[in-house]
Amino acid sequence: MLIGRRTALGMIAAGTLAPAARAAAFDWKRHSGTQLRFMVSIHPWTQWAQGQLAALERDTGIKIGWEILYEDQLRQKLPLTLRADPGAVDGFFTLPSWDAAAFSRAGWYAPLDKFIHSDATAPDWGFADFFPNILKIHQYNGVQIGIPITIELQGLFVNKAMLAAKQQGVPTTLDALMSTAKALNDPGKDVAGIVTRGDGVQAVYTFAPFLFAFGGRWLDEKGRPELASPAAVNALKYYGELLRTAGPPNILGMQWKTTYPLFQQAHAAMFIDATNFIAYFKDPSQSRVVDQVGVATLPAGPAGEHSTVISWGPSIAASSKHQEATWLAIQWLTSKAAMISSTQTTHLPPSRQSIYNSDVYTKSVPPDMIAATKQEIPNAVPNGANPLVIPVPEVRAAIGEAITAVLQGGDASAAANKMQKEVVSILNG
Amino acid sequence: MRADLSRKREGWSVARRRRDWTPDLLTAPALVVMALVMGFPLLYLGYMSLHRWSLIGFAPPAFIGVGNFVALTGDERFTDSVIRTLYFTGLGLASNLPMGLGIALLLDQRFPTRNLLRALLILPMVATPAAMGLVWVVMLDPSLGIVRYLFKLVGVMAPPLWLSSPAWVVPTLVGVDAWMWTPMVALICMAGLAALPGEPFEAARVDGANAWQRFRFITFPLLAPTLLVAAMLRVMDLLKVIDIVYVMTGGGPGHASETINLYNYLVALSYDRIGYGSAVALVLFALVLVCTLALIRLRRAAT
Repeated sequence: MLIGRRTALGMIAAGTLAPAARAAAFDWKRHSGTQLRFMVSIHPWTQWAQGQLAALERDTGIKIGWEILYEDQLRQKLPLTLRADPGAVDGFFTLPSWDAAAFSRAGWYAPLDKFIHSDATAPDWGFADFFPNILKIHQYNGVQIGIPITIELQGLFVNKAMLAAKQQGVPTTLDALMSTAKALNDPGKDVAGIVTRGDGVQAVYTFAPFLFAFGGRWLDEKGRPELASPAAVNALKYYGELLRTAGPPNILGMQWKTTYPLFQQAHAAMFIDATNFIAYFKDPSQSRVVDQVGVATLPAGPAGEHSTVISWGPSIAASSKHQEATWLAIQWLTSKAAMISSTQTTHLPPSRQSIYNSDVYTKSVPPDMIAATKQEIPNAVPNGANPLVIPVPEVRAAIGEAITAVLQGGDASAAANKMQKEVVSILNG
Repeated sequence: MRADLSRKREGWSVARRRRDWTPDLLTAPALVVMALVMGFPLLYLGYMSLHRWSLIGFAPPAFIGVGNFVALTGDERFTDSVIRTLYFTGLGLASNLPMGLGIALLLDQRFPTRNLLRALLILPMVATPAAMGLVWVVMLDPSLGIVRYLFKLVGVMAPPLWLSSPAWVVPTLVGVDAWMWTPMVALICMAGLAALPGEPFEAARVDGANAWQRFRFITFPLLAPTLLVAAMLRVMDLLKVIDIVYVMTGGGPGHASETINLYNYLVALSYDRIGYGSAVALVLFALVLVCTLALIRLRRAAT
C-alpha cells in the first residue's frame, strides 16, 4: 500500500498537532521520564506505531522500547517473559480470540476499567466513540483487557461480471448462496462457483459464520463445548456440500494463501474470508478482477447473519510497575488523532465510529464494502473465529478434523459427535 | 649393569608411554564442547519428556515418569505419523538414489554442455526450501498451475489432485523433495565416480565386457560405499522432513501428510505440551539414530 504525500502530511498533522493542542486540558507529561517496554507482533498497526514513538515521547516524555516479533514468536516469548520475569514487560499486543482465556486465567491482563473511568484518561479521549460490539472483543468476564485497534470481519466477495453473465444476483441467504454457487460453478472453464478455506484447521475461521447462521455456537454459557448440536451438524453438512459441489476440485486442504488467488485470477466467482483481502483484489498489479469485485454481507441462515469479528490491540501487563504510564501511552496511540493517522497508513477498518464514518476511512475502500461491514458490525460475534478456550490450537485441530471429514463427503452428524467428544477431552486435559 | 640399565630405561619408557596424555588432552576441548552442545540438550530433552510441562501453563512442570511414552503408544495421530514418515523416507530413497546415480553416470560422460549441466544441477539445492515449496504449491494448483497444463499437452486430461488428494499428497511431496535433493546425491556419486581407479575398467574392456556388465560388476560394487553415504545423508533428512510439508500442506489434507517432525512441532510449540513433544522428539531421535547406525554398519560391510 502506497502512502501518498497528502497521507504523509496528514500523519504528521495527526501525530503531533492534535495531542499538543489537548495538552492544555490534560497533563500528558505526568509520567515524563518513564521508560516502558512493549512486546508486540508484526502487524501494520504496530509498524505504524513504531514510527510514532518519537512524537509520543515528545508529547508525554515517556520512552518506549518497542519489541516487534513474529506472531508465533510472540506467543512463545511473551508468556515466558510474563511468567518468568514479572515487571519486565509493561505493555503487549494481544489477540483476545487467541489469548483471552489463557492470559485471563494466568492473570496477565491489568483491568483497564479503573483507568478508563478515572482522571488518568484525557476527557476528550472518547471511550464511547469505539463501536460497542467491537469493544466486547477486548472484554473477558466483563473486564476490559485491551483496546481494539481495527475490525477484522468476514465478507462475501463476488465477481460481478460472472454473476451478471449467468443472471444471478448477490446471494443474501444460505439457500441462495448454494444455488448461485452451483449455477456459477463451471469446472470445464476452471471456474469454481465459490472458494473459501478447505484446510481443516484454517477453515475453523470461515466455518464459524455458517455455524452462527444456523443458530449454533462454539461454547455454552458455562464454557462447555456445544459442537454436536443440530445447528453444528447442519452447518457442517452445508459447508461440506457447498464446497464439494461448487468449490474448486482441490478444495481439500486449501489454505487462505491458495484460495484468494483463485478469486483474484477470475477462477472463482465468489470468495468468503476476511474483508481485508479487498487490498489484494483492488491491486491492479496482481489482480484480474479489480473492476469486477463486489463485497456483500455474509448470507443469512435460519438464525440470521453473524460474521466473526476479531481485533488485535494493546494491553497492560498486570505485573507492570508503570501501569498508569503504560495506560497513558496506549491512550495516546489509540486517540482519535492517532487513529486517523494509523488508518491513513494501514487502510485497515478503524474501531472508532467517528473515524470509520469519516472520509479518512471511507475514501480508501469501495462503498459496497462500507455498507456491508456497517451492517455486519452490530451482529458480528466478538472473538467468534474459534472457541474462546485456553488450548486454542489443539481445539482448532479437533474442529478441523470434522471439517475435513465433511469435505471428503463424510457424515456430518458423526463428524460433529466425534469433534464434540475430542474437544471435551482436550478441555478436560 | 648395562643390561640393568637398559631394562630400567625400557621400563621407564613404557611407563612414560602409558602416562602420555597428550592426544587425550588435545582432543579434550573438542570433547567437552561436544558434550555440552550435544549432550546437554539431549539430557534436558529426556528430563522434559518425563514431565507434564507447559510454557503458558498455570502449574509448574510435574514429573509423570514414562507417562508421555505410554500415551504415545495409544496416540493414533502419532503412530500414523511414524508410518507415514517411514513411507516418505522409503519413497524418497527409492527415487533419490537411482535418479542421483543415473544423473551422475550421465554427467560422467564427456559431452559439450557437461559443465553447464553440472552447474545447473545445484540450483534446486541452493534455493530456500520454503520459497520453493510455495512455488510448487502454485505450479501444482489445478486451476492456476502449469503442471496440469503440461499433463494436458501430453494427453493426460485428469491428472491427480496432488496436494489435495490424501493418497497422492505424500508421493507429491516426495517428488518435490526429490527435485530439491536428488542433485546432492548426484554430486556425491560424481565425486565417487571420479575417484574410481581406471585399471579395472580397462581390463574389463580388454576382456570384452559390455557397458551393462562394466556397470553391474565394476562400477556399482566400487561405488556402493559412496551410495551408502548418500543414502545415510538422505535418510537423516527424510526422517526429519518438515519444511516443505509445513509450507505446502501444513500436514493436510486432514493429517494425510503429517510427518513425525511436524507433529512434534505442533504438539510442543503450538499445543504447548512441551513434555509430550519432548517424548515425540526422543522417539524421532532414536529412529534417526538406529537407521543411521544400520547404514554405517552396512557401509563397513560394503568396504
